[in-house]
Amino acid sequence: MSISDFIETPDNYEQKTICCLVVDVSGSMATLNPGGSPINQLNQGLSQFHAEIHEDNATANRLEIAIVAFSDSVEIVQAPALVDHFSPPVLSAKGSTKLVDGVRAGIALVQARKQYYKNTGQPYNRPWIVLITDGAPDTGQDVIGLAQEIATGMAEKDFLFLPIGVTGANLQMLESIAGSYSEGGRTHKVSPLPLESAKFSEFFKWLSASIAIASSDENESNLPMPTWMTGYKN
Amino acid sequence: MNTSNKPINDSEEFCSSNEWLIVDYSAIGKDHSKHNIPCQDHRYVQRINPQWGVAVCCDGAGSAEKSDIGSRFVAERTANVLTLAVEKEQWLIHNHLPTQEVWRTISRQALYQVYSDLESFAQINNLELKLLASTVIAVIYSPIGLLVTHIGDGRAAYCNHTAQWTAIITPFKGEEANMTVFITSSIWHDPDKYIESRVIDDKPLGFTLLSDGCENFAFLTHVNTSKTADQIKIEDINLPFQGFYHPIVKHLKAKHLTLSHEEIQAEWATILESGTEKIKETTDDKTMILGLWI
Repeated sequence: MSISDFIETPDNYEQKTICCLVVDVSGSMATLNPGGSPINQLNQGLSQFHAEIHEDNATANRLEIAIVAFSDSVEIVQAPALVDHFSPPVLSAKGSTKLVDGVRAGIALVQARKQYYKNTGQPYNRPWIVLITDGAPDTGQDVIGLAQEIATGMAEKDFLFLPIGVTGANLQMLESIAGSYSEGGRTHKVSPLPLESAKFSEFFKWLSASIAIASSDENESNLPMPTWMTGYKN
Repeated sequence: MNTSNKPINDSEEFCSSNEWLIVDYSAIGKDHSKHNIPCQDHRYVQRINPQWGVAVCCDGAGSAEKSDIGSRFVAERTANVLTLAVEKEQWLIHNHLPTQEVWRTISRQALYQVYSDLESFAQINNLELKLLASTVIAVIYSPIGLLVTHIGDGRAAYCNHTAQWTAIITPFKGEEANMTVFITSSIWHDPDKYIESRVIDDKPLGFTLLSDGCENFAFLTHVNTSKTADQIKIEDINLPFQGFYHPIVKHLKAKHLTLSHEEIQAEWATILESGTEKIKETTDDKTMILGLWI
């Protein structure tokens, strides 16, 4: 018998990180591309993301996932839950792009979850809100107001907002709402990350690795490079 | 849930040399290893004689690019500055410890000295000070008690004559789980808030300093105290886990009778690298110093 057979370790309640995926399921996501439609690629990516988190025991106990889908309307497809407590959804695409409403629903969801963590005494890390879209908001959506809300939320460290622009997305609009965050005494401007729909799989692999780091004890400056980005050169 | 934390009375075994056996090790975290990030923890043990010395544990900020350099500098410099304090104040010669008030003043001056030296080091090397951000936990150990001081998070504890391990610092935590302050933070205007210093005026049989990467397997930190299964009420606690320390103490004391210090250090390294599955799977860097009176 070795010393390992005698060492006991405590069962501490794990700190939590909420990652809210705000995903565009408007009609354009069903457009057929050479590699398949973006919505199918997204579904495959979500499934892979779920599997990768499930495989990483430490992250699976710390990371809560929520999914908000938006098109003509906004739907909370998945309320915050550990991956072991839900199956990856299969999303379908139709309708227009109420992007601002979708992101606002995501912000409200993570704020409510943070309040729940506080009320129950659970230690938590900064929430992530990841917007995935291939288009532009419907006419009349309050993009300027949303940009202010994101800027305030990022400045006050309420959440980290990461906009992902799938091929065809209005990157200029995403840039205008992206915000910035401060870490280690420096301010970092967040830029929208362009993504070819065929690289959803790679993106979700990066996201699971990045959130694993952020949900342990690290932060954004130690994240792996986003090699899935359009134009990225290793 | 393994949250039982009862002491085991085996403390008097193998205590015959009247000196400290000190083991120390830093293991790179699983995530740091995977992404080629250097170990940002450092530790330093300055033995003044077999009974007295200084042990320091530092954890560089994950957000600071050069924090591995900062934590190394702070660990070594803090040990040097506190060793000079032991000599200057003649605590060893007179075999006594200062009062709480005196220690608070001296430890703050010492840490401010380290901060100033780090500032000079940053200037000389053309580095931004914040890039060197690091926590620090330091203890002056002796046969008659401990003097502990710290900035930031991590944990420290001592073992008394009844074999009870007790926490001797309270980690500084921000709103989020991974937030804390560093020696480079804007803390010097309000040291009462950010620097904790304590005199442990009790004969110690052991002490431990650890970076926060170790706390999940060596301390009880968060326990669900809800009486109902469907509800959560987490209590933030700070208890060294007796089931972790007791078998290790017993093992190392027994090994001390037959192995060289290098071999005992190697045993300690193995425990911190992969002593249990939970230790092995730890994502953050792991540094722990363990002192045992033998």
